[in-house]
Amino acid sequence: MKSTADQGMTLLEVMVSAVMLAIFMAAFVAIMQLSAKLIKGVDSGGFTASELALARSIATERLNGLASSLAREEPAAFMEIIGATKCLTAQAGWNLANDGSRWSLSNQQLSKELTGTEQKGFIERVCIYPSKYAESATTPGLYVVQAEPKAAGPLLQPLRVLFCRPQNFCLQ
Amino acid sequence: MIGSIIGLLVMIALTTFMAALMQLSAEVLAPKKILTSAQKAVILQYWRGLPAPPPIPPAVAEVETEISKLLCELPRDSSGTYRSGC
Repeated sequence: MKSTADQGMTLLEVMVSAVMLAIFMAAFVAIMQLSAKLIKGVDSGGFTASELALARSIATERLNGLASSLAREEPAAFMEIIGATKCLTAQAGWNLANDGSRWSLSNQQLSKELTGTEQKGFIERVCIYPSKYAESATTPGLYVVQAEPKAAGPLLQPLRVLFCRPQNFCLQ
Repeated sequence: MIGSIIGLLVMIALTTFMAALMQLSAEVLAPKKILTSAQKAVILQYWRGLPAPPPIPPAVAEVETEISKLLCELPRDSSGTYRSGC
């Protein structure tokens, strides 16, 4: 005589397990595709995950340096940058008078005083965006300097640095 | 019996692996919705630099909200598309 435990699964159980397996496999495939994109560099401007991390790290450090230089720039010279050349591109660099630095884009990487071939970056332009808090003769202002890729995606995002200027008004 | 236990353990291991991968993906993909500590420090730096009233300085929270809104609306790439009202 056969026991009921040997009769196997009911149709409902089979259907539920099939659905659960399908959901599990779909999630697994989606995550594997994302991992493959990170490894192969698809959707990240041809960068692998490690190359992208290095390019972002270099760009972040230099963007902080640029923001620091901009914070020390004289108001008149800064307003000229904001007004005339709001964005730094490969064709138009920025000359900052306070420390005599020249910032430019080389091989899609932000450079100060270019001395050799740059490591490849992903920056198409660097722009300054003023906030609602504009500087005046008596109050400081807040600005965002942003390094933008040609086409943003989940793996290729812009870099941003918020800075306060003029520096003598912004307490450390 | 042993088969069920092994099956259960395999399922637990796979689910843990999937959860770890999901967390990694979320770290990579999630946009930064809140201000970073560095950005908050700059806001504090700005706020402390404001002169004593008049004018009445805006509250730090108000500045943080404004900057969060600005960062959200800024273009993501050189196409320059703004995301108004995000």
